[in-house]
Amino acid sequence: MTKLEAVIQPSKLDAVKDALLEIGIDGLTVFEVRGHGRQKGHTEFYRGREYSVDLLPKIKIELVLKDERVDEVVKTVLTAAQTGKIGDGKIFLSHIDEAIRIRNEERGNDAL
Amino acid sequence: MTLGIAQSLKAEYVEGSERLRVEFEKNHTGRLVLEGRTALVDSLIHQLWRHHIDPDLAQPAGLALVAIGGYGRGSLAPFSDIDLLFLSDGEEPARTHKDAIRAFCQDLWDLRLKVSPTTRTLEDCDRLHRDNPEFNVSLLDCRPLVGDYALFRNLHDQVIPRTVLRDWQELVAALSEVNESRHHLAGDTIFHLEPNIKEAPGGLRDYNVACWLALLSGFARVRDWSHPFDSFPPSLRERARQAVDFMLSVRCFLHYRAGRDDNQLSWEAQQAAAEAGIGYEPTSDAAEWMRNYFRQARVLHRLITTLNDEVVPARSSLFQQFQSWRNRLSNDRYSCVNGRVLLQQPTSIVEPEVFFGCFEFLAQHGMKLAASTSQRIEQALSKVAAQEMSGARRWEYLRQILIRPHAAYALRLMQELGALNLLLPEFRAVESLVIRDYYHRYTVDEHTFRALDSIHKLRLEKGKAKEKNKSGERSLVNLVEETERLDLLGLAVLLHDVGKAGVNEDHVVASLEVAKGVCRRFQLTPEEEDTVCFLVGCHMDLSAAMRRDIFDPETTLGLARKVGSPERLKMLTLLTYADIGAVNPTALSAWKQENLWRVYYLTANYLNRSVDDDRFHEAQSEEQVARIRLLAPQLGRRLHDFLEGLPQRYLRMHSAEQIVQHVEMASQLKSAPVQTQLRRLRGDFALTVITQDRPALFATLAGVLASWGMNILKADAFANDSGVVVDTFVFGDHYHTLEMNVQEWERFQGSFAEVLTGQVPLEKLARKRASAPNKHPKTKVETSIGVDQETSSHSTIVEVVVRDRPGLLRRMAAALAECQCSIEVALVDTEGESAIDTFYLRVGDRKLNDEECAQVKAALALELGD
Repeated sequence: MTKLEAVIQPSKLDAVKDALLEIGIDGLTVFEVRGHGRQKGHTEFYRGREYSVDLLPKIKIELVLKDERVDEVVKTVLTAAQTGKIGDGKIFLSHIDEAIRIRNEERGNDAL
Repeated sequence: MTLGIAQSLKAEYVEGSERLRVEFEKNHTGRLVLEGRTALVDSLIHQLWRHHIDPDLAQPAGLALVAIGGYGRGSLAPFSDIDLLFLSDGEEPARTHKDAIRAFCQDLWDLRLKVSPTTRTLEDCDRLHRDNPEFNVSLLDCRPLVGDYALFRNLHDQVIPRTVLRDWQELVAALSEVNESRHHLAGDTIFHLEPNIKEAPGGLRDYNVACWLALLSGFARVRDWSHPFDSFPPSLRERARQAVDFMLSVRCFLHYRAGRDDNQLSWEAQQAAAEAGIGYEPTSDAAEWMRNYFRQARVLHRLITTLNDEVVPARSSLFQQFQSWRNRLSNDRYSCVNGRVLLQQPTSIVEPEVFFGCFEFLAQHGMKLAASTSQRIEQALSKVAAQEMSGARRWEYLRQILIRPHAAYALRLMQELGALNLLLPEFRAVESLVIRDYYHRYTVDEHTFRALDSIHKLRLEKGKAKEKNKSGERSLVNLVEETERLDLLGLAVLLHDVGKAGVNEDHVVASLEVAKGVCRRFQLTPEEEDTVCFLVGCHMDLSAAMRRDIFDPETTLGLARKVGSPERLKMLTLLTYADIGAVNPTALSAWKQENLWRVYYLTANYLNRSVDDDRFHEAQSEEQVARIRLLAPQLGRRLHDFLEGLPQRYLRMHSAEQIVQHVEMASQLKSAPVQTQLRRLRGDFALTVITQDRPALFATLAGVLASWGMNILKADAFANDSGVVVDTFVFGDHYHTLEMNVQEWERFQGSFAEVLTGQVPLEKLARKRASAPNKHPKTKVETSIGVDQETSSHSTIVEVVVRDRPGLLRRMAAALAECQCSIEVALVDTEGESAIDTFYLRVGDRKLNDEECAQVKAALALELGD
């Protein structure tokens, strides 16, 4: 099993969710986060006050997948989340040792 | 117990229970089930008592079996516990029958009845159990079952009254505290997606507590037992009875459905209850069924709140002192006694001024109504409704409530008492309306009240804000203070979701239709109607923008075009803040608040920095002038000549009527080269000057105002392609010169013409009068002078933020004039102690070069240095 974490632009959340639903992925967790990559944000002024926009608003999604679906899901997220501009985000993959469904204690792929 | 007897009792219980269940499926009447089960269990208990404790029917002296709690009330739900008290006269009877009592209880357990037995002496019952006041309270529901009846009578007639009267204060306080704790655990709200109908606020426990408080109140009044209904507010008695009947039926339904003591009205259970027709006609619409649930829950919640207020004394002397202090708020119409509002002349409540004024008073002070006042208001409803009241008058009553800090509280109360219908009958459509999803926690009306409350709470937060640019919410605090028409914003909040009651899928469209009708009924001016309709019609737009890339200039541009003016942007931002925050307690996260704030200031900056790029041109703007043309067809060509080249902002900031007046004024410039118009605003004044542009004009106008001691709060200065300027100043009349002396208006306006035409030098005027006094600064304001060469294609934008003080604008404008800069556009605003001034500057027909920018910065810094 593989965990996919993706930090994306907030404006792309709906597109990513819809794209995942279309390929039959209907379970994911969404976090409202802040962060920056190389672009580091900028400073805005309003009425003489400085507003540092160094931590930009982002959305992080997490899903745990069967290994055989990872490539397909990565491709789907890439297509849906990409704008081609700096700040598009990143996808991280990691291995999951075990998954257990709390309701009926199913384990492994059956719990996904 | 012998097998034969056990089987016989079991059969009796099972058959009896099944009979009750079948009856419930036919008639859905919970009360009948409760009474039936109580009778059934009574029969079992009698038989078991005879078997174990009194086989000879000798009535053992000194021992009685008493039903308490729900069983004592005769209110046993299908799977609820059975609370039993073995009452013993001294230790001996209980000790003698100890084994029999144990066997008795064991047999009840074997019959699958959950028993909660307790054995107490009469002496035990005659004292307050401070560690377990619930026991004393449970005795209030005592009912004799079997045994020594005289012992029971002793308990009922002597012991309980004695304990209650002796420890009344403590008992009431303990009951109130337990109740408060329960409410607090449930978030102090009746609005839960899956409420527990027994324990949640507005549920059955609230009714029980209300009855106990009523009984205790009765004891204090008549020194004896009374019926709880005697202490209920008369207007709530029947409604409370119906609410309880509904809740009991729902409880029975839940118990039968789960086959156990389950009181959670889960998502699935709501659907099942709706389809089964529990309490109402069967329906597949679970949202509509839940609407009924919340209506009933509101009644029970109001009942417990009213009794809690009336019966429970103040806990601490400090609180009593505070309540006593509030008595000073009394006036000739309303008196305040211990935090409750009473009418000085109760019969005057039928007068609309007094009737609605009462709610205005509540909205100002947040106090509670005395029960007698609530009653009078309900009785007066039909008389007030029958009176002739213009729409404008009704709006004035509502407006005075909307602008006050506890507006939501007052409006909620108005709705409960039926008074809101007299002003805004359209709101009735969303009363207890449920939006059934996992996101919307509250009914639509409750959501609306919470939204309104959150805006007023921002004002209260202002004093606590320290670093305003750190958090979205702290930054939003200032927007409330800067909003001029809180009443219109409040009205928009009230109307923004009324469309959800309709069949139209797009509730925004439906809400907008309602809003238009309301605005016309209230006889709002066209500008006021425009503002309210704009807010209602666009109340989802900022949320939508937050789901796009907020740093994309296209997003900002789109929003700016839709919003049109900074004032509307502020109001829309506040409405969005309130709307999201009132969906559920976690909807408006800090992340979202910060994004909302960013969307706001990015758009505000765009609006302030794009003024001179976005100008009126005849070829593109026919639609805009259509309304003005309709209003004043006699203007003809003059209208276009006047508007050509003016920033679009001018059109957005002025009404059609005002523009017509300005055009007429501009037409007279040949005969009178300086045209002025003075208007009284709410608390301030507005002066519009129309004249041909000339060097240092803006500085001169500001100077004349300063010489009269006027404090400029806002200003905007625009010029059209013909060089005609339209400068509007909003100012405060510190010395009340104009306010107290209407005859001075003419002289005041005349002085502008005198100075501008050279008849009187400005310096002479300035010497004659004192300027407005220097304010002692309460906060430190950092001076900042920003120069922007990028945003405008025509002008150099200079933005100055500095501590406000008298004569400031004149000095800055004079400094700019000395640098040979012409002011194409000026936008002046104040925010508390800060003056925020934006100047669009040109030198000749071009932007400033780098050297000129440096010169301007240095000149301004010198002027602002002290």
